[in-house]
Amino acid sequence: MRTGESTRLSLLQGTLDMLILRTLRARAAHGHEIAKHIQRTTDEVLQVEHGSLYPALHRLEKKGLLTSRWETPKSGSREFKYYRLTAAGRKQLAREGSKWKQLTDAIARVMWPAEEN
Amino acid sequence: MQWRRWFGRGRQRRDDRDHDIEREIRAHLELEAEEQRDRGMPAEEARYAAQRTFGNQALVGEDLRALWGTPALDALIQDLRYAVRTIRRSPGFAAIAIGSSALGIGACSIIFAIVNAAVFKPLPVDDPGRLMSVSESDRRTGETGNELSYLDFEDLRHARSFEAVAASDPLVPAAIGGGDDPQRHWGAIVTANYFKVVRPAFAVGRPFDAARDDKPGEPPVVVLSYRLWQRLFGGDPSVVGRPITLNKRPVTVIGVTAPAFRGTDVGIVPEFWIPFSMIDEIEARQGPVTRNRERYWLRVVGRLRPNIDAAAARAELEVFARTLNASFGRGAERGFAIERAGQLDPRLRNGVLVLFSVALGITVLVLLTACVNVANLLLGRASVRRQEIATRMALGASRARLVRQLVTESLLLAMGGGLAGWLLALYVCSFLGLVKTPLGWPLDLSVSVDYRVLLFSIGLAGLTAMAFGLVPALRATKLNLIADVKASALGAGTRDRFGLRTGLVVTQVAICAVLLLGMGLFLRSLHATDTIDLGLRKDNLLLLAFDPSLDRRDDTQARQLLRTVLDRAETVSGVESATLTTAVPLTFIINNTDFVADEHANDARAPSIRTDIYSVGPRFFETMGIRFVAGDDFNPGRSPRPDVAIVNDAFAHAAFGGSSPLGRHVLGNGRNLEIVGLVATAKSRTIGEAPRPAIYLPILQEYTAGQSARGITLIAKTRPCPGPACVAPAGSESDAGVASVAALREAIRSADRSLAIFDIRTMESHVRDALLVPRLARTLSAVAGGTGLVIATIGVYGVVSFAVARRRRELGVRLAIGARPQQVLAMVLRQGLTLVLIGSALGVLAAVGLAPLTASLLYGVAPIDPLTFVGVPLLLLAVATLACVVPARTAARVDPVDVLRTE
Repeated sequence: MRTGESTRLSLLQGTLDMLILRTLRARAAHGHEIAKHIQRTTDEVLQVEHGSLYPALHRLEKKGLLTSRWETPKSGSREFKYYRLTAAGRKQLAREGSKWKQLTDAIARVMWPAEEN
Repeated sequence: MQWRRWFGRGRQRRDDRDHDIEREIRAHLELEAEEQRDRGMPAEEARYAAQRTFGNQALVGEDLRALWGTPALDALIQDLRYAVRTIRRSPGFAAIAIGSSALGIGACSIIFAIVNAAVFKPLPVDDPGRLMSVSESDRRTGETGNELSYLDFEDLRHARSFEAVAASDPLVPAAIGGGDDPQRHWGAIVTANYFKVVRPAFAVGRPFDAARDDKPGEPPVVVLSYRLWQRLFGGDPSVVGRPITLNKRPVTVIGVTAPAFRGTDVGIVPEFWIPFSMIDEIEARQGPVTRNRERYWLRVVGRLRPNIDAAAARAELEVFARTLNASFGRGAERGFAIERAGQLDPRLRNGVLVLFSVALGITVLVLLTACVNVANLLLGRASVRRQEIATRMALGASRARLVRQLVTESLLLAMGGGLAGWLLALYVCSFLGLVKTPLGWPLDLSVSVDYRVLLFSIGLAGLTAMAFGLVPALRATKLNLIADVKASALGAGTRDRFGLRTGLVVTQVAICAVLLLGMGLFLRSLHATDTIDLGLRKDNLLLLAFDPSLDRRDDTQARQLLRTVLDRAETVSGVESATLTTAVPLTFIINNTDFVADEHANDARAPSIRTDIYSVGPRFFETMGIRFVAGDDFNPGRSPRPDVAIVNDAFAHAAFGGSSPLGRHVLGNGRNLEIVGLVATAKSRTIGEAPRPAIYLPILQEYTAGQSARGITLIAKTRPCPGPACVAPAGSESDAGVASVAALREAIRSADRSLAIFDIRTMESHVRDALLVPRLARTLSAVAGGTGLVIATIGVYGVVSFAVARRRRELGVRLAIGARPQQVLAMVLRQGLTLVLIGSALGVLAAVGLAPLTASLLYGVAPIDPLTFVGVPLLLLAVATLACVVPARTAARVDPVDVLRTE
């Protein structure tokens, strides 16, 4: 939010789903944590409007890639809705990840052929 | 209630989901705000910051809900619940909408039920599609549906298109039950293979044995209908194999058909079937019917071979007809017609078609007015709901969503109407089976309201909802948002004044005018039939029928029996005079033949006179109240002269012009008859007919079996009743009639205990039955006209009061700048009545155009009856004025200060 306009990238269509799945690979998390995690790990380059996270989460849950449960974290007193990857979610993540890798590699080869050689 | 729980569960699930979503978002916002506070932001600002980072909360919530709501079902349930709530909020509107569409849909469903029964419903037999009826056709006139002779049928058995053909005569009367109290029933005589060809289901027992039961001399057997089996034996299956008495001889019951089977001729429902081995039952009355190629009496059905279609069969029969015509020296005019079995007799189709076109026209008009009313109400409500709709659209509801919502509402209303309409059809059709005709034949008009009719009603409801709900819905959602949200509180402008609604109301008034004109005509016509001089006595006459030909009596015995019956009847106390006749006047169908005056017999141009034939006992004219003009009645006391006849005025006029017919001779029916008496012309077949020639023959001298398949009617004139206490209700055997009826029955039965007595009635009820068609038309049109008037009145009232409501401001201004209340009243009235006048004028024009259609149903009234055509518009105008006065007075009482202040 404090970063300049030019360095912020809006998320490509469909990539948010992948980032969410990736974030949840290690452990369960609630919506706020996921948003913060994406911001933090991308050095706040990727700006996720927090609100837009939820439709994605619910869509993934509906597809059966995630499950959710209300839980109280050890540190706090308030309940949050925690999302977890399902087996299908893991498979999907692997698939999307390798696809994304191929895509970025291909784009990189086009954009910066010299560096590649 | 199941649906309520189902509704409730959906609602519960959705409420949980909504709560969950809200909670999740709140938790997120709180946590974010906390984090911001921890960084030192003031609490208030932290909350705003959290909301900013989150984006549009409401939109996210909406997205999430949309994501989870299983769209089809949940949205439908939501729409339905909303619709139910909206409808419940205005029960008056709902009642009118449902009520009027129920009437419209119900009326159409009744017509459909009848058509369904006559046309669509296949015969309840195995593989009905291959069962064909074969009839004789006349190529000159194109008439089909005529019966075949037995010999033609025998030849037809060789036709290769059919697996087999079977013949039947479905109008065979018989006295069944035996013992002391036989009943007359109608059945069919059929070739023994009939059931093998038709293949109906059997409740118990077996069909005829095709190999044996055609041969005379085989032990007589009978198959009973389910109904007769129930009535005579209470459904006792052990009756199979037991004998019953049929026309005084023991006949073994071998089977009972399933309840659904009602023969192969629409409307004629045999109660029993006897095989051709019992042909003497027919021949005793009608002579040798199986050896005469010119005697047409059989209806034929054939079952097509599997790989033959109707066209191929038709081609074969064509060749067949040619061969027959060539070998028997007939002209080329005879052919065979073939069509799916179980359809209405082609000879009746035209008449039925006229009646049904009129009925259908009326019902469709009622449905239209009803729909117009619903559409109008919906349009009106849409205008009232403008603000609601504008608000919902402003909040982001899509137009499609709103249209769906509004259409769901009208669909719900229409479904209510459709269901109510179906119930109405169910109710009305249950009466059709009770309709009595004066024919004395086993006509069964009962109509079953099956699933097809329900589907039709529901389908029609859906269609009307679409047609009349969609337009208002589309209009209602085509809004200028800003203007409407702002303006609706004040009542929007007057741009709708000459719009769709006005057009609809004019249409409605026009349709109503047509319906009312129809009602007026039929009412006048029925009234006219009351005043038509029948030329007959209607009161104090008792009619009892019996059939001396049923027990295979010879004619001499039968004449003796008639004489005995008549003698005994005349001595019954309370009977002033009694007589016998083969035909009761006003019976629709009466035996007739062509006569020609003897003196003109060689003149080719001499008119042949189509004449109704009555065989009557002595004192027939005195008893029936037919005026004797000249000559003598048949006198039983004097030794009878052979070959004498009495004719009516219409006959005398046609045969001899103005001169006296007495002593002159006429030729007809293969006889030369001397005219000994002249009577006034009475109505013969129907009340509306033009004077019809009739000839009367002496029954006691000339009775032969087969003169009347409907038996002989004993007519007794009873002494007039002294007080009102003994006026017997129609057709009942109570009160005044009871002593005489019992005594008259006894008079007949004491002559022969085996005689079945049937069709006991008074002449008054007989005449009432004879008015069947005009009465039906009157009832239908009165219901339609009344309904139409109510609907149109509501329509006019709705439109005018709505216009007044919307113009309150304008009216207030007018009043404020000096218009007098009367002027405002007059203005509103004028505008309302203009609509009505235009509508009535259009209606009258339409009715003039339709008038020729009704001509055949009217008696004694011109299709464009001045009284009706002036009276009805006046009535309409009067009622419409009342409908306009109420809102007009409201308009005149508008308080300008009040109106202008709300600005």
